Parts: sequence; C-alpha cells; structure tokens
Amino acid sequence: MKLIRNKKGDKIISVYWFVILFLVAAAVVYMTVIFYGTPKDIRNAESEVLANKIAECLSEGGYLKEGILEDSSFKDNLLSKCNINFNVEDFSNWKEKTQYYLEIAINKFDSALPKNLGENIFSFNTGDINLKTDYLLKHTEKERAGREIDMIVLHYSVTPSAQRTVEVLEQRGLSIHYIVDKDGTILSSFNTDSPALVDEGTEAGHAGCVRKGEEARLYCHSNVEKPNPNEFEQDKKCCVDVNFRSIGIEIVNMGNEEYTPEQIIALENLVSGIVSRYDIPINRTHIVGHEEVAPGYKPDPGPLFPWEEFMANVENQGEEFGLGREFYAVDKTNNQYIVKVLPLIGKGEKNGD
Amino acid sequence: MGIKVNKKAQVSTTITWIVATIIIIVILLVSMFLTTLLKLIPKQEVSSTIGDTDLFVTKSLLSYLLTKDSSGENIFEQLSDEENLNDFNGNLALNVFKKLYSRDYHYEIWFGVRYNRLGQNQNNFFGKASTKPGFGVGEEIKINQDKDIILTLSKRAG
Repeated sequence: MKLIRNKKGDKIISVYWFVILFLVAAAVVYMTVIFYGTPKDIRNAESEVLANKIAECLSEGGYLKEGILEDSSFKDNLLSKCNINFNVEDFSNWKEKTQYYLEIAINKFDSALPKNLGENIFSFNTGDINLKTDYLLKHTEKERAGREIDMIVLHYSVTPSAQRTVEVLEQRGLSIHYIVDKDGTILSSFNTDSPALVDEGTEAGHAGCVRKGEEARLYCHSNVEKPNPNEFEQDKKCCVDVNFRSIGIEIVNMGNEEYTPEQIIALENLVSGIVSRYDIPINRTHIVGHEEVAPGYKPDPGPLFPWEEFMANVENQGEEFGLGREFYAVDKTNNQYIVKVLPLIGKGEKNGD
Repeated sequence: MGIKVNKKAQVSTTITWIVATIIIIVILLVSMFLTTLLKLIPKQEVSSTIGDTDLFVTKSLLSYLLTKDSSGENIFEQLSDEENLNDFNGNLALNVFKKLYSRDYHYEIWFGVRYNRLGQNQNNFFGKASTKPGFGVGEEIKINQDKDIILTLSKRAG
C-alpha cells in the first residue's frame, strides 16, 4: 500500500511552529527588556567598597598606618599606595571627571566637640567636588520633629564670602542649613563646626518671622503651637513661620551683583537632591525666595537671581547617592584621631546626554 | 482505491494542538504579567554591607581597645581586669560609638561587658542592652569563658 503524505498539513504545522517560536521569543525579549531595562543603582555599593578600601589602606591592626602623617609624599601618592586608579581610559566618552569624588580627612580626636573633630592634620581630595552635595543630602531625616519638610527658602547673604556669612549668622544668633559660596563650595554642618550651620533634621532660624514687631517675634519663636502648621498662610495674630517646615540656603552674594555660574550649578545640585529626598514639588510655591515669605520686608535673593533657568535645571536633575563614614583611630604613641572618608560615585552620564 | 481518512483521529490531534497553543500562550501571558508586576516593585539600593559587619565600626572598636589610659594600660586590658566600664573607657566609648555612629544606627548603640554567668548587659554609660536583637551590626570579643566584650549597633528593631 502506498503511503500518501499530506504535504499541506506539514506546511501548516511548520507555520504553526514558526508562530509559536516567534511568540515565545517576543515574550522573552519583552520580559528581559522590562526587567533589566532600568539598570540597578550600584553607586552606593561602589562607594562603600571604595570607603572600605581606603579604611583598610589607612589603618592596620587597629593602628593608623605609620608614615601617613609624617611622610609628605604619602598624600601625593595616596591613590597608588592604596591601589586605586581612577584614571581609566575614557573610551566610551564618559564624563570621566564627574564620575567620582574622594575626600579623606584626619582630625585630632577632641571629645569636647560634637563630632569629636579636633584640629585637621591631614586632608586629601580628588575628583568632582560637586558630587559632595550628594552626601549632604543622604544622611538626613525625612521629617523634622514629626513635621513634614516641604519648602526650600533661598537667601542672599550680603557678605563677600562664606566665612563672613558664618560670622554674621553667629553674631546675629541666626542659623541656616547650607551656604553656597561663590566658587560653588557648599558649607554645611557636616564640614563646618559652627552653631550657625545646622543639619536638616534641625530647625534653622533663617526666615521665621516676617512681620516686624516684638509681639509677633516672641510668638513665633516661642514653643506655642504654630497656627496652620501645614498651610502656607499668614495668620493675623502672628506671622508666617516657615522655619519649621523649610530648608534654608544662603547664597553668598552682596545683593547687587550677578550670581556666579559655579554657585548656580552647586545650588541646582543641592536643591534637586533636597526635593528628591523630601518629595518637595518643584514649583515656586515650595521653592521660594526669602522675599516671597516676607514680602515688602526682605528683598533676597533679589531680581538678579535666575529663577527661570534655575527651576528648569532643578527639574532636570536626578538624585545622586553618596556615602561618608568616620572611624576612630590611634597610633602607636597613643595619639587619637578621627578619620573621615567620603567617596562619591557620579551618575555616569555620557557627554551630550 | 480511495484513501479513507480517520476524521476522529484528526479531531483529537487538532484539539491537542489547540490546547497546547492555549497553554503556551497562557504561560507566556502569566510570565509577562509577573515580570511587569516585579518591575513595579521599587528597587532597593544595592549595598555592599554584608550581614552583620561594618568595617568602619570594626576599625573603631579595634583602635578603641588599643587606646591607653594615663597609666599606659590599654582598654582591652582594663576590661579584662575590671568588672565593668570605668570612667575613662566608658566615656570614650560613648564619644566614639554614639557620636560617630548614631546617625547610621539610630535605634540602639550598646557597648559593654557581658557576663555569660550572670547574663547581665548593663553599665552606667549605655544602660541596659536591649534583650531583643535589632537589625544592624555586632561585634563580640571573648575575654574569657565568662566574659565577652559586646558592641551592638542597630538601625531598627529586629
């Protein structure tokens, strides 16, 4: 008997298999793209690895490694002595200079000071200092005494330098969270030991009472429950008190001069991190000038502040991650130190992105 | 001679193919749905901190134990010889561990000597250690069979 093959049926089966294979392949591609499409953020892990490597390099067997403080060439060759090489070939056109920031400080141990940080006897930094703003944002609390932080208030200092700003704030008994110097350096409670600079978890006295008058001033600075704590409204009995809900930033500027590009870039980094951390809406109700919470009373940051460009850039910034740690160390002659290591890894954007 | 086709056999074969196709498509759809769900779960930061170790804390503890008082005796020797923390090593421990690490481990920081025999973890500087283990890191150094040096730093309740 002759076996007759159904060739038409074979063709249909082949087409069926092709369709099934296509569906499976398409689904696998879809799932892979969905799951791995967004890269995992390992910057924090990289920062920790770098911090640990530096700590291992500086301390051995419980003692600060000999020669670090005495040998002047150690600082010059620190990276190579710690087997760290940041100068990789920029073959993919990455912004190599913005990929990292490393800061090391060795201070004498002084238990009388808040962070035991006595006189600085060794300091080293390399890389992009703007990444340091990441750190300032990382280790802060989401809320201040149970109240939500939902506002950023910008001031100008009417001083020629950040140092002078600190002095003036101290003299006037005021405080602030950050000071942005003309070269883009940011002073904070992390790097400046002054009562004028407080951490984000602490209310700063920077824009409290906006009405003149001793009665209003006493009311706002007392412990009396604030009226409308979650509303940005002015109370007739008192004044608008925004200190308890805001982060205050002083920008070093005399009030009648242009802001420097370095200042604005540093401020954009700083503010974009703050809004990310506290989920503050990026608009002019929540990012305000002192002049807006004290209309007719305070003029800062003034008409020379580039609000439009600044707000657009803040909106385009992303959150950065960083890490900074300290450890206690002694040397063999029983001198005590605090070693601070601050390694920061950047976002890794390509040029032009 | 005409070819007889078994139509019943064809029906069962066709049903098998249809069912197989439906199963494949259902599996794919479920997988795609689960993948999409996983994507919606917020990603945690990847951290290199593994388990119960923190190199910076370990470094501080080692240096702390090697710190000498005015008589030249180091803190490890003091803790070996004495019953509990004294003014020198207790205050230094407060300054080192609380001041440096309360930011990272804000739930509990406890340092002291633990007596296995008595089961007491208490001193004048850090108070009584929590009996419930927290989530964080810990260091334990055995002085002898009855006595350990304990350092625990917790981020939150365990």
